Amino acid sequence: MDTILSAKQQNKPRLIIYAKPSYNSGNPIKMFASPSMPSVVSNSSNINSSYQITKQRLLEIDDTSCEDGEDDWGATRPSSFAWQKSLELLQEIEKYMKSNFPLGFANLASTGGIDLIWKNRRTKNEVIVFIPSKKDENISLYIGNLSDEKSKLWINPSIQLLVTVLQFLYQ
Amino acid sequence: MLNQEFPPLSDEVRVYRAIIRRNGWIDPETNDVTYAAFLLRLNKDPQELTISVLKSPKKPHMLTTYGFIEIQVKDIRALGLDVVQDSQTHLSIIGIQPDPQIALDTARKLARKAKVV
Repeated sequence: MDTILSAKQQNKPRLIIYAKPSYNSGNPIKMFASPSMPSVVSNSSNINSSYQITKQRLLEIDDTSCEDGEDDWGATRPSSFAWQKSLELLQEIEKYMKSNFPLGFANLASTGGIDLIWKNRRTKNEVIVFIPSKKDENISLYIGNLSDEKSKLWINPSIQLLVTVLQFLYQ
Repeated sequence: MLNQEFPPLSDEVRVYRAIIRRNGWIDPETNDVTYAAFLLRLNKDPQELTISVLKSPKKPHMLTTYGFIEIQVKDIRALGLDVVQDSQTHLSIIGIQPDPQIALDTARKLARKAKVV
């Protein structure tokens, strides 16, 4: 069986099927990876570790222990749409920011949506991307700063705006 | 609505929020509490307009918890909110505006005053 490493050596793009998460829909996400895409199993020196750790933290919000996929609080597993959009967004950000990809983490919303979170612990600024559970709902981008009590919220931001806000966060 | 059975809480009282999600409520880098622990569920039907807290950090019946978050009543009141007791064990943080951005700002401020115990 071909491994990702052997695919790299052959310089051929490979279709990577991630075993986890298995979504609410029961279908795994399929991601088409070019040979240059960092891989969880590769030990190549160009791995963007912040990207990988953030992605790993995103995968960890999936709680498969609850059979119904929800409890009294709300969803215990993200929706298929939220998974796909979150992984796409992380990939897009990585494409723009490369080695400057900031280390973030994720939260599962009670609706089955996903929040992607980045914090600057020095300035207390915080950027949160709220990804809804359903395609027909809006993605929103929030930046907050406790030191001057200000915050801003954008609805359906572009990837360029998101990257700009993330760059601002760590200035 | 205020339950007259229970007297107002003193500023010094500490109340506890059960951590009911393994990830997201606590910053994995610093162990600080995040906004997610105090965010209203505005998408619920009907909307959730209060945040449930407990009198003591004891696991409620039939609820999976991953620990507790502690916050002092005076820190809640300093944000223009209040906390009222509605049963022997349960209290509610009230007064959070049901506007997504304001509710999020408030959740972040509450999180900053809270700590994991």
